[in-house]
Amino acid sequence: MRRSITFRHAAACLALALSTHATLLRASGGDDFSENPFMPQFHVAAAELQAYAGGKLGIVMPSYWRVYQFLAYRALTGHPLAQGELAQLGVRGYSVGPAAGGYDYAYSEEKNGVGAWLAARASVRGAAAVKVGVDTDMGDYTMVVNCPADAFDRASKTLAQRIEQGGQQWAAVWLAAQDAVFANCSPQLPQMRGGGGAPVARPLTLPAAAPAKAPAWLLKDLAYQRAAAHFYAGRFDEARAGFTEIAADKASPWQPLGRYLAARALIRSAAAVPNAVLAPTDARVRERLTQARGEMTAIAPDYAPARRLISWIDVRLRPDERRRELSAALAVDVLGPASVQMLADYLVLMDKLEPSGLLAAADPMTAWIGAMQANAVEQVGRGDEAASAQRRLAALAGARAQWDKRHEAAWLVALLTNARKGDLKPAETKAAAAVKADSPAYVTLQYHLARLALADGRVKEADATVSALLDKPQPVSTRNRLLRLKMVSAAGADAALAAAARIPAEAGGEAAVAEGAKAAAAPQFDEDLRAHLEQHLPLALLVQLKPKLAASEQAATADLAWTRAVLLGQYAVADALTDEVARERATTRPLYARYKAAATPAAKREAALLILSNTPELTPHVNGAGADNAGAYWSCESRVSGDDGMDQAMPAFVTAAERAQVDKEATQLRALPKRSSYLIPLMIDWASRNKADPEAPKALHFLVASTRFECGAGAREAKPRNYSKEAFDFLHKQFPKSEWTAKTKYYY
Amino acid sequence: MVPVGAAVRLLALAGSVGRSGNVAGAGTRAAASALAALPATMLWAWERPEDLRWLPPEAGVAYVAATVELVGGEARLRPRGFPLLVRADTAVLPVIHIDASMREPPLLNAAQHAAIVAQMLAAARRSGPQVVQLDFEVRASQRPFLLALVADLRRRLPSGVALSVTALASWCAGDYWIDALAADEIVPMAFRMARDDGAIRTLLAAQGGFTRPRCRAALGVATDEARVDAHGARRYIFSPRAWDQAAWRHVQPP
Repeated sequence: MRRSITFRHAAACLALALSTHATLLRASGGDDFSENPFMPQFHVAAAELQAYAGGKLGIVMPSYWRVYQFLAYRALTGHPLAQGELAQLGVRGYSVGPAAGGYDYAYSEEKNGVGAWLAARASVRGAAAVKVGVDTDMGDYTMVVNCPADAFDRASKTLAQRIEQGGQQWAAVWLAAQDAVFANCSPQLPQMRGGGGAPVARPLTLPAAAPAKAPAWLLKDLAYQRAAAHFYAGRFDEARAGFTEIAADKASPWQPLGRYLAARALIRSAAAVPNAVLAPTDARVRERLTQARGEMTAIAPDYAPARRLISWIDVRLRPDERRRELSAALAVDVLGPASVQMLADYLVLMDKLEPSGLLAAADPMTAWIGAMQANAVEQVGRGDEAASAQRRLAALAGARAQWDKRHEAAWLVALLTNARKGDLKPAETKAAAAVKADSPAYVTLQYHLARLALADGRVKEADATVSALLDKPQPVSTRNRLLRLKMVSAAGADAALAAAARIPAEAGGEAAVAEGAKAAAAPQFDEDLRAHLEQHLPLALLVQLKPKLAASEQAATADLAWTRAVLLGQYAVADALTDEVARERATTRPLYARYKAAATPAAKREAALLILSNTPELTPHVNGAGADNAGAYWSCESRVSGDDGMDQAMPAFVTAAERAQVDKEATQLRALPKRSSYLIPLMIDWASRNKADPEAPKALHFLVASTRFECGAGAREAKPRNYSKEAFDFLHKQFPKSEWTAKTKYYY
Repeated sequence: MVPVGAAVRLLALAGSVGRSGNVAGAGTRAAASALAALPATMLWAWERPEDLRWLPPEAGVAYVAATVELVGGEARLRPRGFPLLVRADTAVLPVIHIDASMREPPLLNAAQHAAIVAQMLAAARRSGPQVVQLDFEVRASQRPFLLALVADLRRRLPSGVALSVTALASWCAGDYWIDALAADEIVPMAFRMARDDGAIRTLLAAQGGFTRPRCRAALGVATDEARVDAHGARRYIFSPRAWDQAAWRHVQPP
């Protein structure tokens, strides 16, 4: 139930001084949702949406939510959206249309219409105050708005007419009847205990019988009000009978609404069937909806609300057919106000299909969306990799079959999206390369051609393709995605590092809010820069390239290189970085002076040991080699790898010899046990030889403290020992009067 | 008059709230006894149709009654849209889930505070539960808001209604900051722990649960993650899919 987002911001890192990692933001709402602000995986950045819908797609990602796949399909098949069409849709995240009413709808008399109705009531002299609610309990832990705002609006207008028509005397009678109708909206029920599937019996309040000498119009209204009271009280058979009679009464002013409301009573009675949502195929539900659909169809030509309800019924009664109808219309039609609900329905109906069902759908747009999403990164959790791989292969085959049959750019996009190394046939590669730059498919296809060329080892070709794309204006998120490729494909380190700076595609995130406009102007970096620095560069190259990095990245890189250097015994390398590592660390600066004064490797090792013991954030950041050691070494933080694998790919500018050195150093570092198992025995040994040194109890204190919640990453130990306790015991025994001992109250 | 539009599902909202016996702060005797009456195992019923009529009486259900989405300065209500079926003897408690927008971080203004309070009070009033739960995983900068919100809730809920609040597992571990949280029960969620997963699982295995007094009474776990046990704690169990009896058997102790 957690959401997280990784947001790397150089200025924020500087402010944190010692942090070398991205800021992990944790918000509410859970389900592990996260997005990369430089290239959102699931939605098109707001600033790019209009151009995207208009056909300037940039790179269409398989992980995009379906509404963005829909927009891409429209563009790829020659039906991009005009500005007005997109505005009408009101795209919001993964949905469309206006957001549901505010939290206060049910008790905001201004929003739910009750306030206006109560004001209208006041026009009848002597009208007693009443309390009116709008929602009622369904008995299954859900509530429905039983009496929406238009009911109160209609009542207000009718009351005004009746005052004019019959004067105060008869209007008062009318109002008393209407108060009875609305008393059924939100009746007081006994406290619920258990849904159980049994319908909740709601009390019924009926208007009083017509007084003697009541005018004809009042009699007609009372008939309508009695039917309405039954309707709101959930007595749908009686309501339906009443409205049916009204439909046959040509003298009733409500006659034109009679058939519609009788059908609505049927719909409500279907929704009220116990367990209706859990068992939509319930025969009673189907029977009532089928009948209601027939009745609505009869009046639909002349009544728009009836047409809307036919669609509402179809989504529930014949979802597959309705999805196909919606798909066919939405794929090509000019979008208008009615399209919002159509698209909302279409998205909901797609949600009811399994991925294989999407892919196998008979309607091309649904099948295309299924093909595009077949191997998308999971929005939530890790997902089932084997199933995802199978879906990809099925999608690859499906897209290929469609491409072979139709030769439509949309299917070529789906084909390349699902292709991996060696999957594409030469003719397919040729076809993708031949797509012209003005096609909405162009950037996506070129991106995948570059990605596949990189995977095949055709690095120069990939780099040329990426560079050509970067030479042209691109949406920010597309540019960022291309820059991730460029960091890997660039032949030289300078070009690769130049590709590291990014602009967020979307503002947001805690760091950005905190840092404000000043931060927005600072260079920013995605995770791939740090991933390359930590995983793909040997120590010597890391040091060599450090001066070329942005200022914000230098401190973290100096820490990384210094730590690795002392752990690898390359003290000459560490020496050159010591002043920089010490610069922002006032409290431990004397330890760095001690290190600098050390003349021999053994002395440097011991001085470095003190620094490492006092400074837990100094870690070598070596990724683990296996499942047991998956996090960064000496810490359990793991980097978000992005959805393209680029931060795991070795940059082209790293030579074969340097790659060998990377492996060698990583092997050496991975051989170290976890931090406490490495440092504590060494520190106990050193402290036992240097008992008079005040740094000894201090270092032991910090080491014990750092074992709390220590990550277990490190080489497997044959006989793991509780070094936290050993250090604690040693400290208390050897330094009983030290202030640091007094501060060390627990071991872990 | 009869509406022309279709019915809209919406959670009931309170016109008035519990005014009797309001007690500031957590840990009243009445609230404690409400919690004591709650089963030791509670299934979280998330926003999906759930038919839990098969659930044995020794387990209860904590169902999402509504989600309040905080977007910029707005609070948007997403009431429960799916039925929950339980037997009449099943203990149920409503959960109000708060979803803070990433795209438009919430301003955490008074209206948003009021919206959450209104939902919690309505949930407590509506079905007469003895316990209500708030699920709001805040960022560091949002913690003062949560502290104030929970304190206000505790003051305004009837004293006999216990206030349960979920917590990130890290809040009960190294990032402990919830000592002043005025909840009667805190439910650290030992699942979906991302980078903290290894460390916290190691801790829980070594200590048999969280050791902070405020974190010992309850534990949240998930059906799709490795088992986590905590001695004596009430277990709240999350399922990413609708519950069925197989999932229920799966989470039974070996």
